[in-house]
Amino acid sequence: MKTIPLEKDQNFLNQTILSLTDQIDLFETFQDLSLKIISQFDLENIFETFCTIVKEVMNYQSATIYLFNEKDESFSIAHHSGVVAEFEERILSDLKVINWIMKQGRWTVLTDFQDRNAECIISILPIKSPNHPIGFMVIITEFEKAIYNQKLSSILNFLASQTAIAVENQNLYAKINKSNVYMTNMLDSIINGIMATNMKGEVTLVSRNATAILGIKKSPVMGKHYKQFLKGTLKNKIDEMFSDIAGKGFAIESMVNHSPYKEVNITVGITASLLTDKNKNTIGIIFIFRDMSASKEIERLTKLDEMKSEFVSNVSHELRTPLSIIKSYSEALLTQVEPDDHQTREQFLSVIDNETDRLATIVTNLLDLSRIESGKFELNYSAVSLKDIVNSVIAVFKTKLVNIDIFTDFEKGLPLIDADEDKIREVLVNLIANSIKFSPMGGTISISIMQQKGLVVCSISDTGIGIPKNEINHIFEKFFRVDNSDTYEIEGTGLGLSIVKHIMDSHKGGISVDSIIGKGSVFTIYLPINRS
Amino acid sequence: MKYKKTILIIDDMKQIRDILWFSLKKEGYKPILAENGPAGLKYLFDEENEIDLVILDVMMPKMDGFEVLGKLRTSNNFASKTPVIMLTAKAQKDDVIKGLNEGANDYVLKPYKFTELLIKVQNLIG
Repeated sequence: MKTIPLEKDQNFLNQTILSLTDQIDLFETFQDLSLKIISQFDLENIFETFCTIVKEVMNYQSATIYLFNEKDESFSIAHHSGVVAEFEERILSDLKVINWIMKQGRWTVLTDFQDRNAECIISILPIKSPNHPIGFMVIITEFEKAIYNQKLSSILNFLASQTAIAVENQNLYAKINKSNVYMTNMLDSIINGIMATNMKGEVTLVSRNATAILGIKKSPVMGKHYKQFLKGTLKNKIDEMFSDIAGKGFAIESMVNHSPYKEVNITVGITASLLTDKNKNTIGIIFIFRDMSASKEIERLTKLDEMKSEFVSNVSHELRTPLSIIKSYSEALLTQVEPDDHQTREQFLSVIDNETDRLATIVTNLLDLSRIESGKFELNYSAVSLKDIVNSVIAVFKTKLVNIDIFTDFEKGLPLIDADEDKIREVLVNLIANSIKFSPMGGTISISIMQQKGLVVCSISDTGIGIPKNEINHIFEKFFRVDNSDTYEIEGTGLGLSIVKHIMDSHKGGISVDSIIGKGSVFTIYLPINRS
Repeated sequence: MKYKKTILIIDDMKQIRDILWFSLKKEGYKPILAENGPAGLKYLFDEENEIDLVILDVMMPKMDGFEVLGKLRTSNNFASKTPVIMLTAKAQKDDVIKGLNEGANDYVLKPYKFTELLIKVQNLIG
């Protein structure tokens, strides 16, 4: 075996050390370059930095970066630095060459395209991530300035791979950003307010509607503890729910009155549920806030809509019933009743008369309603005696009543009032007819009139079925009818009392009601003596 | 003596019951009156009574005409096949179809013309 002399050996060592130092230098350069490229988040900056470094490394004449389009095999220019060479297009028309270089994955000098006249060297540096080709750089260097060695090649390939990583990162970043924007838009479009916190109570997410319902500003609350920006009843409620849900572990609901802005009071419905990760570990709490005043409004409108359609069906039934009766009685009178059977004739005619009155009342109410709705409801004032009107209305009812007694108690020396006689008559007809209608088993109706501080007050009390407590506040609403279907079926359009109320209001008077279920109701109307 | 056909009238409106009673009697029938569904069914299901035809109002409190008809037709009672004419203020086509589907033999819309009702009665029971 041949031995190497020590002297030579030392020389060899020296050379090795030198080459190692050189390589360490190279690694340091790599690290430096890598940082420069990777730290860029904007595509344009990445390419800019890439070109600058390549320029430092090999002093090119021009460099152009092409990126592949995602869907097809084509590519387009993304960045350019230096002077554009005319023959670039020619190079790029040969896709086979490009594809081959991409496949090789390393910097390649195109010997075939060397432009002798311009004394240039053309090379292509593929930009490729481990997963897929991203693009390539076409580099044109002056023939004389070109120094090609292994070191240059490794630096260029390394730069290209770092650029590829940076581009990939940038794409991912853009994707995340896009889905973040989408999520935020989605959250902000949900009508309920959404706020999430971690288990410490620090806000990790808050939607636009949550800020509106809570009365806070979005940006300053992110990352803050909810106790730092919520106050009063709302903070107490969240405190309570926070400790409650951590203990219970399932979704809980609650409600709180709160004032998000000055002079605005809303009822907020809150649902809290636990936020878990994919391993079912609890990582936070989601609060959903609903403005209950808004949903109440929708509920009210839906109810009104239902009442309206029920009204249409009620009205058609209310109109048809008296019509059926009138029709059949008159038909019998014309074809069946003997001409000399005076008793039957009279009996039938009085039925027709009653039903005609009923029909007239409904029609008057409907006309009033349409006048009120169109704002054409007007009063014809004159000096009116309320006592006289009450007496004449009672007189009409008395001819028809069998099992109900009507008593009156009028104070002496009652003044005349300034009012629309026909409309006041309508009010009394409606109220007395109701008293009779809602006393299906008979009973007593008492009507009193007295004078009180510039007002004339008339009370009509009955011993009828009464009005349930929860419905009494609604009886003056248009179309409203007390649900009495399981006790008595009493028909009506649900218009009478709303029109009565309107008439009283337009006289600047009023109406009140007091009722005990099963005992009876008292309706009291107040009319000012003088119109002022 | 000629046998009088019996007609049961089920209607919650007294005026309607009264005039039907008067008119049908005039035409030689024997009208029986019931002011609601349960009372009418009770009368129908009683073996002592023999009803030839029912005139049944639709819009009635507690138990409406369709329910009365359903209870009659699905019963095992001897009276379950008694012909029924529905008297309805609801002009909607759907209600008429519903009535006929549930086994009504005919219907008359309110406000009705008695002569029209009479023809339908005669068609069914003579």
